Amino acid sequence: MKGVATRSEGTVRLGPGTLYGALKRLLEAGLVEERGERAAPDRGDERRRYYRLTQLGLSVARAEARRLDAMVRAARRKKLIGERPA
Amino acid sequence: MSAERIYELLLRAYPPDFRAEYGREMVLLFRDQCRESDVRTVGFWAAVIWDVARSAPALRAEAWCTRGRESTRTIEVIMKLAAMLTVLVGVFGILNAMVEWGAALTGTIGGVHALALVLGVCASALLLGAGAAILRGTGGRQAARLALFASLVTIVAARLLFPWMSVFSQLVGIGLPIALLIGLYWPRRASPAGAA
Repeated sequence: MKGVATRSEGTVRLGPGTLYGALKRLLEAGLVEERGERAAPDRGDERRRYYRLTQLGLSVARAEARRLDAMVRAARRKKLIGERPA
Repeated sequence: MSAERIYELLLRAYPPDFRAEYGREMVLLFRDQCRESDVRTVGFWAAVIWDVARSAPALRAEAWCTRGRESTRTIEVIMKLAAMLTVLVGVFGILNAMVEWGAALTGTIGGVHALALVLGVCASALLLGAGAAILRGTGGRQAARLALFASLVTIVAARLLFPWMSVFSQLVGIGLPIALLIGLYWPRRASPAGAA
């Protein structure tokens, strides 16, 4: 949740309900899977579960990133947004 | 009442299965949020309530849809069992009418009695056809409906002609087509199994 807030510069704030609702849908779609390992006690609460992208999830994420990149380039060509910073 | 206890009460807005699966992690995350924020501020609780209000109804709706799909499968299984029963009832109805006809021939059989027996055989044959059509799958549903309507009309006509028809025959002859028609007209989504 903190990572999302940082990367989005505070514009996207996830709560536990939104996060786990999205996680449930991603699991059902086969885009993420549970890692099966539990956290070491020195890393925090050992009851936490960890998830990772599946191969399908990685392919979908890359396809979505390419789609968004194409949209941003089209918006720049039409001067709807500024030039890419150096 | 502690902040964590309040959050555990708010979690009741989520479906029970979701709470069982993720409730523990959600409380752990909330505990982290409490450590990093001031739980005494209105803004903190506004964000918490907003998160629950935004996510819980959608998850409830998804759980309800999932239950709806499961009940559709249940109805289809029941329809298949009812169709098998209908086929058996149809066969026994025809056999029973033939036996009754044979027994009646040892004496004299009135025209009305004979007509009632013929209608009974027709109704049984229509029930048998309807059951077979339901077992065929979604393609036979319309034919099954027509056969059931026809069977219902036929058995009512037989009952009117022959008031001494047994109560059991009337219950089965009228009740079974009505129950099957309700099942056939019950709104449901297409099942991947392609059942009735």
